[in-house]
Amino acid sequence: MRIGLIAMSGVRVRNEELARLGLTLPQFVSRGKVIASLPSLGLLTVAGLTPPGHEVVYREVAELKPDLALEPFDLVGISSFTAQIDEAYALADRYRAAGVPVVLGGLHVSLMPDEAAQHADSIVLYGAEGVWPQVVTDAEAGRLRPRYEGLRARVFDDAYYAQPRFDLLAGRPYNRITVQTSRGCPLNCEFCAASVRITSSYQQKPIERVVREIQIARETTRQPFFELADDNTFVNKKWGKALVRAIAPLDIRWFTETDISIADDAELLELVAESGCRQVLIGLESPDVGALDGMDPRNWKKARAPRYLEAIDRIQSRGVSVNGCFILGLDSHTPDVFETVRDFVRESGLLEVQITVQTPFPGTPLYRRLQREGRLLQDRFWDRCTLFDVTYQPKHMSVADLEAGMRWLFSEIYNEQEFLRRKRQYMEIAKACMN
Amino acid sequence: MRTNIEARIRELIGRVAKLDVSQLQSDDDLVERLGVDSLQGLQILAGVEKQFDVRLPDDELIKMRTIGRIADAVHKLRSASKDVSQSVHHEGHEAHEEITGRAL
Repeated sequence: MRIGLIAMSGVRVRNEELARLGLTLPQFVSRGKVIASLPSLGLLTVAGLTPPGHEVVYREVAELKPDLALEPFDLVGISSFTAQIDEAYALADRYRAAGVPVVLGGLHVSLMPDEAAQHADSIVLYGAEGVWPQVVTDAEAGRLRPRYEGLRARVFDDAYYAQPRFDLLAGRPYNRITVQTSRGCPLNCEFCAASVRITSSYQQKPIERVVREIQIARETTRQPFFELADDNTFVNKKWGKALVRAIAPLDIRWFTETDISIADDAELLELVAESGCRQVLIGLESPDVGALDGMDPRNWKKARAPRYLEAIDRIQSRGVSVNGCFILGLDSHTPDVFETVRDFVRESGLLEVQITVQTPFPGTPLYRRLQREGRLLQDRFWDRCTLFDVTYQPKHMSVADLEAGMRWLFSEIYNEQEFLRRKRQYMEIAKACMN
Repeated sequence: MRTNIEARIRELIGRVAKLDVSQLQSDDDLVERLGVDSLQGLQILAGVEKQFDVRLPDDELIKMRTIGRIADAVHKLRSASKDVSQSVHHEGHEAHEEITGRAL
């Protein structure tokens, strides 16, 4: 069979004013561009899991021309996040109308299976590990089942693991390549719509496999910059040290997402810096401690918040920059929050900042709570799950206040002068740490 | 002096970006040609400021893309600072003369 795997890549913003503003805000645009240009590691993994004897073709949705005839495939697999899901459904409908069987998978499909099933011959829930070879066999025999359940645990076990097909990316201009080292996150924050929703426990990939994947990806793409596509890489500090010791000789530069506890371990920080880590993205969520109450079941982030400034300084003083992420519109936030975040950013010395609005992705505890409280603005708003569009009634301000406040904060933080100020702050930290 | 500055900057860049110093040319673009990332760029500029005891103008940081350009900026700042220090010394001398009524 000729199997087409189609990635619904790209970043979407529905709020027109914000989209317009984005065009003039350099740092806001740059992270968006990076995200938009990441390959779909999920589909590369699906390609790796495909049994031999089939031709696998990887396509980014932007490469498909809506006006042209559909590229001929015997089976189509589509993976999409929530904001792009309606585009994914439309594409799936086109292929199905042309008689090509379509399989849908990914986070949104796993969380909204009944909806997705209306646009697919078959859906795959959770990981593709443990089930994709069967899907292909059934498709070839013309007996696809409507629903398959992949693994939620042990996804990196020998029996289920397959190396992602990085060779499918050869010749494409990605500015970084993704490699996964772990799946899930023990924090389980209320808003999180990442891999924690499709895993039953935090799982780590054997380190020798991570090393091999980086080597293969580097050979085939010539790209020296990697993004560890994890939700929280350094949960286990001992494993984290072994990981970075193993990747240090590979002479790569890399970025990952982790939590603030990385700052607790001086040895780990040293190793992370020496192994080529350029930046860690950390969900600080809010500088206001009270706003973090109940965000995760153990109130872990709330307990950590009073030491954020010290922790950021400790990480950045090792030569690793921090991209601090903040969520606007948490339940305790009043219109004061915008200035509070701006002041914290200025004081912190964060080299990069990511500001988003709280977003109740379907299937998350946050979505269920806001639905229960009657605060969702629409029943179905998936195309507005962009992280920049307000989709619910905030508790202590109006929707218009939140939108206007976010625009104000963007203009305060993402401007040339602030960008230079953050650079200068970072240089002063670097100078202070030089012998 | 300018040559010496450039040599020291070259060494610094080689150390931070793990590049072969002998291959670095004065007009190589650090980002486009040498693959220096933005963070390394800031570390290099911080190192330059520390090593030469100067402060590069914030609004010109973005333009510091070649070894030659950084060396020019450092040279200019150091020359200016030398002029100022000589001028301060000279003015101080004249003031002292006025007060004491005699040459030192």
